[in-house]
Amino acid sequence: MELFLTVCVTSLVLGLLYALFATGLSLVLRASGGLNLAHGDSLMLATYVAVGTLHVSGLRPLAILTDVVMAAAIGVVVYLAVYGPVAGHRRAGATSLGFLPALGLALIIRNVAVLINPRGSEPVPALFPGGRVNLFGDYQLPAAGWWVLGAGIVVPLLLAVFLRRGVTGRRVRAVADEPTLARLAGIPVVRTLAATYAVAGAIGGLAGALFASFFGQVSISLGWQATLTGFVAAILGGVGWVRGAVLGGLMLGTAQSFVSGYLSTRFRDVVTFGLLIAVLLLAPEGVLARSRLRTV
Amino acid sequence: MKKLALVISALALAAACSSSSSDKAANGPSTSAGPKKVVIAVGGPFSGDDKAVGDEIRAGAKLAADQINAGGGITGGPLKGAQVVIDDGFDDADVPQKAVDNIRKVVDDDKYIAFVGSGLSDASVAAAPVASQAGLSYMAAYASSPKILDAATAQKSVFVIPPTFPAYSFSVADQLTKKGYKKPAIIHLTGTYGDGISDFFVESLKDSGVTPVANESFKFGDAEFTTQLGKIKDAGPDSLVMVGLPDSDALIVKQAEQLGLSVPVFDPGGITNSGTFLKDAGNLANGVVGNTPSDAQRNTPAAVALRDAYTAATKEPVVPDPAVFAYEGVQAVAAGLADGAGKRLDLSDHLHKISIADTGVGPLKFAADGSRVGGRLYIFQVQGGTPVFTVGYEQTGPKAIKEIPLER
Repeated sequence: MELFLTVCVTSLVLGLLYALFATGLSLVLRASGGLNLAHGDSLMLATYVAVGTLHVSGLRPLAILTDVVMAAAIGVVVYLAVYGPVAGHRRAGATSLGFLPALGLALIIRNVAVLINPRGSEPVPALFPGGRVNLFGDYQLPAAGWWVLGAGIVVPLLLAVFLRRGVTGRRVRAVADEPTLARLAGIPVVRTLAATYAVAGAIGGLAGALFASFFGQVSISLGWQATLTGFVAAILGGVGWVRGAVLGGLMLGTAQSFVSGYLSTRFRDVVTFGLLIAVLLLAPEGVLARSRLRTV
Repeated sequence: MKKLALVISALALAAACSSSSSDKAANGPSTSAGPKKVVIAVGGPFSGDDKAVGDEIRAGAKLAADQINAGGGITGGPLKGAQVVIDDGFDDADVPQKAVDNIRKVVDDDKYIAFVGSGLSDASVAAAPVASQAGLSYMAAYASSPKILDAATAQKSVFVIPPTFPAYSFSVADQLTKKGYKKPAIIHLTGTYGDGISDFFVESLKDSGVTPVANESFKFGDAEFTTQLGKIKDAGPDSLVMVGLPDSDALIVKQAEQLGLSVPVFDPGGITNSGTFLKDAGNLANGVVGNTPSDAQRNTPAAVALRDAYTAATKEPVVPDPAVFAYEGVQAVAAGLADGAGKRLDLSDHLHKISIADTGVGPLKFAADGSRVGGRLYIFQVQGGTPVFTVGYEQTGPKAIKEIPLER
């Protein structure tokens, strides 16, 4: 029974972390049509800087803020410097090679992270306040676990409200649906998309801080891991939909945890990508495709 | 702006392909004006999650080269007096394909006399056949799977400097059973290193009539181990054996404690004697029993000299294992050249003949298959954040070890 409960808690925490990774990717993909392959590396770099900030200042809120703001800033910069111009020069009907600069950016950011971090991995003290809580048996969930649960629920809700009610959010939806009409209607498309990248980056930064704090470590591999799991989660739930990102994240976290707990880690990738292929074949727009509302 | 995007892509590719090569201008065995030089290619994970190991390999190789050069260079043979130059432009990030590409570059460039390095065994297993085909002397400095030697199917030019996996596994398994543990559980990294150490560990336990109650695995880069540890806890072990890398091992002891899995921890992979593990695991490192080829309190003149020189060069108090073996790899190449090797293709024959009395961690000579004769491992237990050594083992055959006393 304790194993089952352990796997359930891990499923939830991992799933919500994946959901946060997926939300940023999904938002950008829906709004701009581009896959930000540098998303994970951006949040990884921001997390390294946040850990450095904590070491220097000793202030946990400042470290978390650094993570969020820096990841958002990287998002804006990569949009204005690369993704936006590349999309602007793309001819109608031409094959999109937008992933190439995205890959390039991811590599650059990764190399910058390697340069600023001489060890490869870095231990991370608790970034979020609170102590461990005994859940069942001897299992103690660290404070960051509760913060993951909270953020995994609150952030997607806030994002949904922002997209439905906020001026910028409505502009994001308009640009996502009909960019040309949005431009003709006077919506500042570039500024709106830059804001989209900023919001996506900020969510990623928060996810990076939560991930590092929960596991007590940040490593270079967090970048690719966040991009890959976020992308798979987004596809599973339905690209471009906040609820889809959350559902996809939970599906992925649950599948991985139960396979590791009851089968073997060796089958984890088989099941993960088997699930992905099954969804692509049976519900190409994600498992929420039929039930979702027309919302971002 | 489109151009900017292209420029960024190009920069990224350049960054990915670039490396911190030093002394690249140096030539290999040279008879041109000026002092003769021999260039040794040094590779390993200089980037990525295992970068700390790569940095230690580089530091050990560089220390050996500096010492050889300070002593007047190669001491005999056709290249007597030649200075040793280290070219560390061979980052493989522990990725086997990169390791293969690197060895091809070394093979294709005559200036390199030998290769020293490599982190994870997967990289060496992939690269060894290329070196063997070309007759390039390949000194595996840290990777220690017997498969590296098996992969060298052409010329016997591949050498494994550390003791091989069976010695690592058998020494800690011997300690575990001597302490009376009957129900160990294993959690190990997948791949040549993790699977190999784990398999030999299970084999050794079997010889003692002990069967692990659980045997779980994880993948390179994983950070989440609670599901595997939960499964292990469910099996009711009396001890935990972990075979990972410094950062993953630190996470394992942390997450085991979080789950309430409080049993003695053993590391047969020679990993926990690293600054990264000791720092990352903090207080939870205390009590871990591990092994290492380098006894930090060994007090022979060579051991003290190596320790002092490494500390002076790096400010690190302890010589980490990757640094020790890279150091020995360069010393071995220099000894092979002093023994009479004048060019790359001759070197491996001479490496089979060399015998260094004490490099700092013990005597160094190689068996016909390229494995080290009499490689040593020292058992320690972490106490107060520091490894405290208790006993040593010497590898007496491919699958045989004997206990030896500590040299104090």
